[in-house]
Amino acid sequence: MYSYDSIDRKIVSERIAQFRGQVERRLAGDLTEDEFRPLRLMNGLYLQLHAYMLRVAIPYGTLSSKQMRALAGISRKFDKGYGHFTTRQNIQFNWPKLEDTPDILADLAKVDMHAIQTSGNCIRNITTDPLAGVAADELEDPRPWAEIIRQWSTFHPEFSFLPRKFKIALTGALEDRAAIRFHDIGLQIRKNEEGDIGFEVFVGGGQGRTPVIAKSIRSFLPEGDLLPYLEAILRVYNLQGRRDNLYKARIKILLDAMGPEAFTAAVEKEWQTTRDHTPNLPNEEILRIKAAFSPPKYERPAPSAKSDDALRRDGVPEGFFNWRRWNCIAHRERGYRAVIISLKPPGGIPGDASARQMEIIASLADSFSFGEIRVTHEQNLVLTDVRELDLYPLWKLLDAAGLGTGNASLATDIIACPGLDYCNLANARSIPISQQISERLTEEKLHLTGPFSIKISGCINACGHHHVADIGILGVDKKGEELYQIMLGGNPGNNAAIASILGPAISSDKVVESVESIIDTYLANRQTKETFSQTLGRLGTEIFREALYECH
Amino acid sequence: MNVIDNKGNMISDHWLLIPNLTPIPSESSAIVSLERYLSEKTEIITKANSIGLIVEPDQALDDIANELNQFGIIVLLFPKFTDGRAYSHARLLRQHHNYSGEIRAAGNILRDQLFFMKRCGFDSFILPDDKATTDWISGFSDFSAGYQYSSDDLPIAACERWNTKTLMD
Repeated sequence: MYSYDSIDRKIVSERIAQFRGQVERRLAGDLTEDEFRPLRLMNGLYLQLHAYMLRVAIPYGTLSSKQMRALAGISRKFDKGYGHFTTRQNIQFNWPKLEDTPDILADLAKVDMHAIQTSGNCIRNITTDPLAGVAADELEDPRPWAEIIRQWSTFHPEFSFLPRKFKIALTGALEDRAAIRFHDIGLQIRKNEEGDIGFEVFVGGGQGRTPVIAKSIRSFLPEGDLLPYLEAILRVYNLQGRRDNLYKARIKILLDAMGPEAFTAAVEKEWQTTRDHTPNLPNEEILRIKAAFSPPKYERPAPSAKSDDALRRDGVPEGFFNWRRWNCIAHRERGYRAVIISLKPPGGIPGDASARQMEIIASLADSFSFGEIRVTHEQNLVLTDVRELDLYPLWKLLDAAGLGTGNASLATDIIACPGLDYCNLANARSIPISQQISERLTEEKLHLTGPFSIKISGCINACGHHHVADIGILGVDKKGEELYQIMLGGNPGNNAAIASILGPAISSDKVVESVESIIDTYLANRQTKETFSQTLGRLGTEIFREALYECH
Repeated sequence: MNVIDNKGNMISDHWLLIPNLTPIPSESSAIVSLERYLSEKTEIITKANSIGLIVEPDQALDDIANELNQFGIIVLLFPKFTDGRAYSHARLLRQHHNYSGEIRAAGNILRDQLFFMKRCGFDSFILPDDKATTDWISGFSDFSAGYQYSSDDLPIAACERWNTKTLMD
């Protein structure tokens, strides 16, 4: 992974000094809360329902074991002994004190971490495929470009006071695991006929109250032109994006208002001028960053794992085989797997990990996966490079720490926002709904159903990605009562789709049985190997609507 | 009205900000609004010794691109400190229009923004009334390097790493 050099470190330490000064000025009354708010947000510090929340950046979701240990330490020292991994591949601490935050940043800086631009109307943490560099279907590793964009977007002098937040995601694989069509800019690495690497550029995707699938505005952008092209998009947005209405300020609204052709023409015109004045990065610098993501030293050939029969004779429980089936992903290197560590045990809070669990994961990463950990936008963790031989010993240790749940991509692998338990924007709670669903669905039913996504947001802002799930659940407030809208048929990936609402919102005590009846209807009606969205496409929503409202 | 340059020094201001309905004093250094300049161009050029413009964030300068270098100063207005359009205007002036005159920030600005403004090509800053200048000077040097090529001479990370003077080399 990329390691900071002295320049990166100095910039982070200067940031801490700057933020420490801002906190002191706020506490002394020299900064009003209105002035302080955008400044603290640009450093990931939110004021929530009960306390401040600090969101720490994990650039493109990549962590070293050392960094994971530091996060565990911070959660012990300054929080309540746990952290919450988010859909933007970051981590949040829910209980820091304002006056402690500069010291937290200082602790983070010791392991080259920070909270820069994890909130605010600026370019946010860059996200990518959690299997980058190891996925069997990858064309080109997106991480060097993610790092190049991270550096370019950090304290960008022109784009730090945008109309609204701005999210960039990229992928280098055939299957989109980074939801690039639901970002302000999505970049898909492509190869042209000459074999050159470049990007297909998508703009204007997003969720929130106005879900939009991004439009492709350029089918191939040569890699060397990436930064000037991003500058052009951001400049058009910075100058022309709406600033009069918070809810109409994202680039998706601008693109819709201008029309894709006019928007694209404005970007291309700006780019033609900008590219002549924006020098490219020195080639040595691009090579330096690419070298930081060279593959680890795989064992060749990797020792082969015992056969399943042999494992069963040794008394290995079925739980391992289930876990291996769902949580261990094909790897481009023979004899290796990428292992998803589920943060979704039955009854658990999606994305939460205790300090002890973080430390165990750090040690397991050291022992089994070259000391590196990834965060997924589904709020799980990944050890990307585990020998097949090591899968069973790894699972035993994970399982002992409550981390051995074999439900990756299954119906209990739920994305949920913090909801009304933490968030001051929420209308309803998300976490308890998620906990109830994961306790209700039996393992037998999960395995029978296969891959199935349930995503829960506590308000219209859609942090829980409810628009892009097989079943999306949206909490709404109706005269003080927490109700839930159920929607079906969303998809964050290559076949991007926005879920549609089935009907009137239902009460919280009906959500779990409604979800189960929708799943049962799918199981009763699906044809061989049909996914939920295929069954839904074939049968339409009516049969599911009936199943849903029969419960009432 | 306190004005500082981009090193934090107080500068004495010979520029006069002329409200739209006030006559232009003869032989003055007059800053006028863009719409007044467009409607009274000849008269203003005759009367004033030197001309400056004050530009709102929703005004584009493309239409008078060829005339820009006759302005000794262009004042870019920040109606709110969260309104970042003037950063792009400054960059466009420097990068696309090769504007070499003074660019000044006015309106609702924070000390915490001086570093970004300087990087985008601003030379001077009208301080909000109640703010002390000494306190503000440190804002220019919040960071010793930047990651992006911009309109200033701050060391750029990639150039420092490879010992090139600018990214152009």
